[in-house]
Amino acid sequence: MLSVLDLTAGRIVATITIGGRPAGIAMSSDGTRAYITSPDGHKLSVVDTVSRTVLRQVALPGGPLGVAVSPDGKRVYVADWYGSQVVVVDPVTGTVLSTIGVGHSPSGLAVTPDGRLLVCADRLDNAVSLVDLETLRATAAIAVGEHPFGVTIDAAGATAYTADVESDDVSVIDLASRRLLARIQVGKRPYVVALAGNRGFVTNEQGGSLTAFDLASLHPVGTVAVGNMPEGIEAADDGRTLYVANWMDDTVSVVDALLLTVTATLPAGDSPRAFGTFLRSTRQGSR
Amino acid sequence: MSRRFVSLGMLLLGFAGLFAPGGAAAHGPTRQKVVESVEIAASPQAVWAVIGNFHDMSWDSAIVSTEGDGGNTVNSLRTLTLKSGGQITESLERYDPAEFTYGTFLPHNDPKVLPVSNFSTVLTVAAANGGKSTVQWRAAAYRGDPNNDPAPELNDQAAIAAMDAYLRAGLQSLKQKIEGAAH
Repeated sequence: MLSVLDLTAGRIVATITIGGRPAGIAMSSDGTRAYITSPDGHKLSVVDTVSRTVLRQVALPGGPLGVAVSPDGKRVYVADWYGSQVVVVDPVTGTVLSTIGVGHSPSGLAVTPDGRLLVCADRLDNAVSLVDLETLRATAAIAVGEHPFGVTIDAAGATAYTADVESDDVSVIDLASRRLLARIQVGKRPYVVALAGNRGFVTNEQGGSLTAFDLASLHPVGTVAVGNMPEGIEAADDGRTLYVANWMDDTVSVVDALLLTVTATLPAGDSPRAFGTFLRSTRQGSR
Repeated sequence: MSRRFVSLGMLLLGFAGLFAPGGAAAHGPTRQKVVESVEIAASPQAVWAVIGNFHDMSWDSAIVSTEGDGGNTVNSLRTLTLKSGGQITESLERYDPAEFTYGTFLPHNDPKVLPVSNFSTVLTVAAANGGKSTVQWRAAAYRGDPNNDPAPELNDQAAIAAMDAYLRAGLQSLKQKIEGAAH
């Protein structure tokens, strides 16, 4: 199930049937398409967010989980959890264009804003693979913390962050030099990082909280108690508001990134994951 | 002004593979979740007075005894002796008396005692109409056998059934205790 939550109204306004236990999500940069992975259903669903319909579903091998879309919207990248590969899909034709060998149990994916590099969390290798998206080959692996899950790249395309579930830290990677810069100690079982203003935020799934860290100093600066078992997190365009999906509570926490407070708790659907990018902006009066 | 929509991928029960112990790299179990609730004819404050002490599970007739002395502070431990046999030792993960809620985690247990692993619970009291309360108990866990092709008594269905029975029995016991056993 895909729930559409109107953040102004504070409630669910539509639900879209997906099937196969949807887990990963990627939003196109123009906001017109959402790409949803169903690991159990072995498929990728292409959703038209305006009409709120499923345009097509693409059968994929293994366990499709992490998903990211190229900035131009022409390619969707899906991590195959079981197959140690990233599958490249044409979302318009629904065809698999290529597969890219990466490390073991690939989880979160992120693409640089220039569309040239993909970062893949190779969970069981405790590393990330860097994939050149012109040659569609992994060109480097960088050791990070234990069991990296979510991957997030900043707007400059310069730095990547992984949430390392088993070592309770966030790894910070400089993409140009391909170096691990730091590991930041956060809360229990971190899942996904979001960036807002000059801070990073990670969901501590077991801690039921966010840890905020300063992006310049790479030091933790505070925590925010959110719902139970928070997973997906994303920052709004305002660079000030964060949205957190609380899997256990079936809610979304709205967080002020500057004040480190929860400003609202919204009802979500059953067991929301939102693993990836899930926010969409619209103009007033349009869907 | 822009209205912003959040599209959330939702799962009923969780996705495969987050928990992959040891060498079980090829596949992993899916975390299961159960939610049960009961309405009780008492205010949230009155209900919390009965359940709000992590070290006192006397309201749950399925629990024979509770041992622990860490108080209601995060990381405090309690060992529950179950009427059905065996013990489990849970940690207090979250305690928020203002919100009438606390959360627990069970990192290790004998699957014969409860056919689950990594068992988390959240117990919450909310106000209901007419001065009553709704007590909600949520539980999430992986099955007792994390390997592929688990034994039937340790598979996902067994975990769900066991969690559901545990929550339902506890909530019914609480309702009877507060409202009186005449029901």
